[in-house]
Amino acid sequence: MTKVEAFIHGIYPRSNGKNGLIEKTQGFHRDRVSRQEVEQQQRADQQACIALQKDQGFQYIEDGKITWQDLFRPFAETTQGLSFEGGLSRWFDNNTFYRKPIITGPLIPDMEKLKKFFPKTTTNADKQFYWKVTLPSPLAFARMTTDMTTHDPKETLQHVSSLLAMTIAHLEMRGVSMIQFQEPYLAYYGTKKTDIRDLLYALSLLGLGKRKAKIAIHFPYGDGKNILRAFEEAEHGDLVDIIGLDIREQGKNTTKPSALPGDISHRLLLGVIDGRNSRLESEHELQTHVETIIHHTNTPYAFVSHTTDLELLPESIARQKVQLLGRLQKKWSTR
Amino acid sequence: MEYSMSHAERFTTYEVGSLAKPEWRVRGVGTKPMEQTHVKEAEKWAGILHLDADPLLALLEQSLKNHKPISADEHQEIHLWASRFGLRLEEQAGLDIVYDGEQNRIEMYEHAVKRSKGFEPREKVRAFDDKFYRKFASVGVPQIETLWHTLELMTLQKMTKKPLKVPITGAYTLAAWSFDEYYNSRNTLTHAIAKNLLRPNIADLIAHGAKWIQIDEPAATTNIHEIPLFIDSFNESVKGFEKTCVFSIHNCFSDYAKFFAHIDRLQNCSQLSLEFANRDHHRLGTQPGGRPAYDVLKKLKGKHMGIGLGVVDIHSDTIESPELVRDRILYAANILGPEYIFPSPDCGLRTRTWNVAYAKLQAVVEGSRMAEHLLFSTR
Repeated sequence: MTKVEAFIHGIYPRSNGKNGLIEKTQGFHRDRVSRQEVEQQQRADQQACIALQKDQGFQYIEDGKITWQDLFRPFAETTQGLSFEGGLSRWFDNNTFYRKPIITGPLIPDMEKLKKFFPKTTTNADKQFYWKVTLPSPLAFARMTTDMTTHDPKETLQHVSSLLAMTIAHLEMRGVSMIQFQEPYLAYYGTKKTDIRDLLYALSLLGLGKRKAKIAIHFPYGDGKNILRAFEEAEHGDLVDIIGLDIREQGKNTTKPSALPGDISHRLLLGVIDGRNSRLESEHELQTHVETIIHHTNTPYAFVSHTTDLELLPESIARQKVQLLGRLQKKWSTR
Repeated sequence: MEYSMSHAERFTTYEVGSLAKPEWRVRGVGTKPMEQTHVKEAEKWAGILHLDADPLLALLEQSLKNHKPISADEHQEIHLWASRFGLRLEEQAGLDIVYDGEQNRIEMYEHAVKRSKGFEPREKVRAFDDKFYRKFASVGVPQIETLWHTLELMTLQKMTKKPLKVPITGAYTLAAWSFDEYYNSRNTLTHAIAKNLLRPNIADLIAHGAKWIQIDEPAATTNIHEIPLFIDSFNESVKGFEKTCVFSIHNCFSDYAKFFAHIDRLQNCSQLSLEFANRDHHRLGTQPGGRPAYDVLKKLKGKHMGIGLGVVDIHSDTIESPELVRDRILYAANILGPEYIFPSPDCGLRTRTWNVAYAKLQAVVEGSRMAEHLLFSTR
């Protein structure tokens, strides 16, 4: 019987309200709040996010990336040879923006600085919780970066993969148990065969075969039916343990369970909760939908989660959605 | 005046949307007293714009002297003065078609949804870095609560003799920027907004004398699969009004090639107001191929579509020279024909100080006159 767990991924939204992080951040920029107060609130937000996941009984715990301005910024701020554009680029079809990284030379991370963006969420005393981290996928990283050092996209893939490989090695040394690559580019741009090929190539450069940590890769923003098939069949497909898809029951441009291959070897990360809309999904409908997916794919293990990063929602709604995931996990565990 | 085509031998110029709100305007309706710098700023601009603003200055001085914020009773006065200043800034820069720089609107999305039934506020979400905005959720059938801009239009009509172009946020953008807890369908929500919110607002604006309405659709091309939906919503919004009003669409920082692929479906749209200066270099020249940022206009040849041509960059404080503006206009005119070109900034100038905004608008006007001289005086 398929085991079902839940976890979150990516950037979690900042707290709202009078004493929330958003208010304090805006106050800081208007010279009404000190930097220390903002940093204190950042830590509080992070602790609240961690506590929320533990309260729901999740095993794999993320820190919420409260200090991340976008998926690439910590690397752009702490890596020699990498900076970011002054202008803004739209984050896919959202009303949110990121600053495009720019490669200007060999990428040499300052791990002491980068490490501050990856606080550990578990202690040695935690036996039932495991530390989980989300990283940008090498393909998305390469495709969404301007590389001034080369015109060859393969070289750019190699540059960012090398940076990610160093980061992964560092995280593993510190005891990370699961690394999830966030790959928003592939499905959004039509899941081209060349992109899949390049992604698999980049993954092969990360030294994943030597890793103890479980490796997940998640594909929001599009229909992922061809992605799962490709990973099941490809030579390097088994470098990744868990494949994540946007597989909402309703909505456009999602993956239809009936289109997925059956008897798959990979575990699945099921993006069944909409990370972009405030409407709270029905618990009963979600459970039925997850059952349909499991029945069709016969996956040995499924993680239920949200589609995109939760930062596209206000925190109070994101919290409700995480609690919904918790109820879903609990229902499965009592079957 | 002729709205849909530039006058023969003269380019019609306009601003696209917002101007920054001066500090005296912000402080004037807030909870803190005026400071000396605010009063000085108002005084300075009253001088530049030849505005007899003594009543305003007296109000600001009183707040400064008494260390008290301006009372709520007098907020309306502040609003009126902000509009006068905004209008006069555009008039004096030399623009042909004006508005007040949206001095009394909060923000293009929130202004509309706050005045509509069927929407509830949710908390803030992040736009980028440490910038946040309040997002609303569609929770019921959208309906008018208060008309969005009619009162504003009526006020401005009394303040200027120049033609006014009213900006209004479009249905697709309002849907795309909202959570959807009611319909769970972008398509249905967008059409409901077009029918129940845009149409009544447009009808009322026209009933009160609006002759040109610009529909702002920044979200129009963010999802290429939904461009047909955006176009359908525009068509639905303006259908039946075309005999009494000119309509244009403003969009910016997008992939226009993807937009233009659907252009033949647009109905009753006289003009597309688009950004280009942000992507263009600053070298002079009009040689074919020399300004690739504007080359996408070739896809509109033969479409008889007016273009609000972005010729100054709203993201930079560098003031474009009139010569640069001239060459941008000439380059585009060479592709489409001068009668289809309406020089303007790329987008609203809200992120620039008034010093910069004013100088850029003057450059638009001066560059247009220079282009006219080269194009028409040699005939």
